[in-house]
Amino acid sequence: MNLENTKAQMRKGVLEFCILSVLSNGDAYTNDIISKLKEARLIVVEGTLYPLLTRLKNTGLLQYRWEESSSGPPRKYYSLTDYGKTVLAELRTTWDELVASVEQTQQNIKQS
Amino acid sequence: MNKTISINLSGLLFNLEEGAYEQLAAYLKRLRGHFSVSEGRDEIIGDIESRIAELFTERLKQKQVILEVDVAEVIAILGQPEEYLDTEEEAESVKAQSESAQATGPRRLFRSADDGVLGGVCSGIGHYFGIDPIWLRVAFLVAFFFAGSGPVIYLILWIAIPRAVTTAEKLQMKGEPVTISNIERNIKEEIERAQKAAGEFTRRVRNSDRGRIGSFVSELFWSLNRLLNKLVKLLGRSLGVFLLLLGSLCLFIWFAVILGSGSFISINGERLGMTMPGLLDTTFSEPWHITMFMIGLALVTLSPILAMMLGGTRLLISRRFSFKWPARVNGMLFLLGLAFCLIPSVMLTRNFSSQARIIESVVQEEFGNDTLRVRVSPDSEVKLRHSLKMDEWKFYFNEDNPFITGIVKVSIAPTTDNSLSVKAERSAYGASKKEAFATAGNIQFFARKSGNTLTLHPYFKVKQGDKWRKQEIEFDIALPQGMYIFLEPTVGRLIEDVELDTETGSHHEITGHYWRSGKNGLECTDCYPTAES
Repeated sequence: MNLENTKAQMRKGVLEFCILSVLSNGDAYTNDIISKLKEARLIVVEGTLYPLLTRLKNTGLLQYRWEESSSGPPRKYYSLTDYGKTVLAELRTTWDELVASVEQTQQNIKQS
Repeated sequence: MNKTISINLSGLLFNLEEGAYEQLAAYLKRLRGHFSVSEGRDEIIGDIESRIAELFTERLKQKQVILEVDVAEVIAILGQPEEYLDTEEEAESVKAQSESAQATGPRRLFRSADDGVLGGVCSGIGHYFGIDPIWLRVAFLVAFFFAGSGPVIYLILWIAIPRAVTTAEKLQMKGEPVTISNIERNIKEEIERAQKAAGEFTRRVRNSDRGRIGSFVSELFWSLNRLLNKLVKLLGRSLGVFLLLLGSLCLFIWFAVILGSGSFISINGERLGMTMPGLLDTTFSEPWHITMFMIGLALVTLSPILAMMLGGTRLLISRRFSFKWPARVNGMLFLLGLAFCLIPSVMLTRNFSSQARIIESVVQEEFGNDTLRVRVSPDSEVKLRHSLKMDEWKFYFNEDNPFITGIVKVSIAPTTDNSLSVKAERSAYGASKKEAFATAGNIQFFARKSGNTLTLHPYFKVKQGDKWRKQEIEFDIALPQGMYIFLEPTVGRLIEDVELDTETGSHHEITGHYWRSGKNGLECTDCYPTAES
């Protein structure tokens, strides 16, 4: 079993959830999302994010608008769609359940 | 000194050091390869390019050119595709299953407008079967000649087969995943676009207020420019196809005339049962002259056909293939052919250097006051299937024995003598006087007077085996004054010269009237003076 791979798999599983969470605080420009996720050490390289964002947008969870930038090319500002908000709410429930389950199993292990 | 390359990233222009450019191109190539199966690849790449542009802009505050170090840093920030490969693959697993199957699996038939000539039908079919489209194009051209089915089939296929528009479709058409060459092409196109539109883009960045209008105008110009380019390209290609078609047709005729049996040659609507060498054999004396002239003629006529086809091919082949040497060789062939034609022709003129005339009397007799009737022999028309008519000569090609005939000429003039005289004057050319005399003597003719009627055969015949040496025969009829002459209508076309009394009947037909020989020439005796004036 490849430890690094498992770690990556775990991180990746929650990545979409985290992107939606970041955006629930308000619209964000790609770099804002990247820096927040980097801070949280969820991603190492930026490239990971672009395909994810595109896919979330294509599945209708996100939408974006263009804004001119004074120092470079125009920027994409992402925001949650209504559908995205419902999905996020669902994911939160799932996450809470998952956390509870994990904690419970951890406890069981400690007890045994 | 380092070379720099300009590229356009998200509408911004950057100058990259050559090494940096190569690094970036390789990176983007890898990215494209990585995302090849996922939906929205172009958008993802666009986003990443946009980010790269941003990072480059940050680094350009102190300098003008992006260096390899900068590119390495940017790539480190963005990461190698392998580093986020898992995310991608897992997330897209469902989609990837179907699409990766297409990438390596069966191909789909599309028209390929990118490398097509007309509608990309041949090119698309070529991609589908993995063959060079040139053979399909040739096949369509051949089908055009046989029953003309080529264009019809092509049109049907053009309508029926969809054009590959998206990258995915283009890949499906080729049945291969994104390849290095594919991406290289994309990058190259990107560079070209950047260089062409460099001015517009920098302007757009500087005047961000007017950016929208500016970009719209530049987009408009860009589209117009592209459209114009396409039109010119299409015109060029149409011309290319036309030239190739015409060249093929000419080549076909060329083969038939130079090498064929000759039944293809048609002059004045008459089909000749002869070959080109057969025709030359009637005039050229030495066999090697004929061979040489034939080679020359073949080269001289082939050269423009080849030039046409070369030109057509050049217009059709988009790659810059050098046609300099083929064109030069073609030009030399033409000159060589010209020389080959010229040498026997110059030698032939020697055979026309001397002329000889043989004059002999056919009729010489007292004639009283009778009327001389002149007519042509009733069964005089030589009826052979294959003949070539040139001026007054006719070349007949009867199986293996070509023979030459010519129309005889008749001249009439009054004479102060008391006797009627008809003289036959035969003439011909030759390399020497002696040869010319022999040839003239070989001219066979028929002229006989019985009773009051002079019967002429309208054709003379060159002796079998003699070459054409401008053989001619003229009958001079000298009419004593006071005598009458009547020319039958069939004689009309033989008449070369008649001395007429200008006061009477010069407006009238010579044949079909009774003429009297007078002091000043022939006078019409049954013409009404005012009839036609």
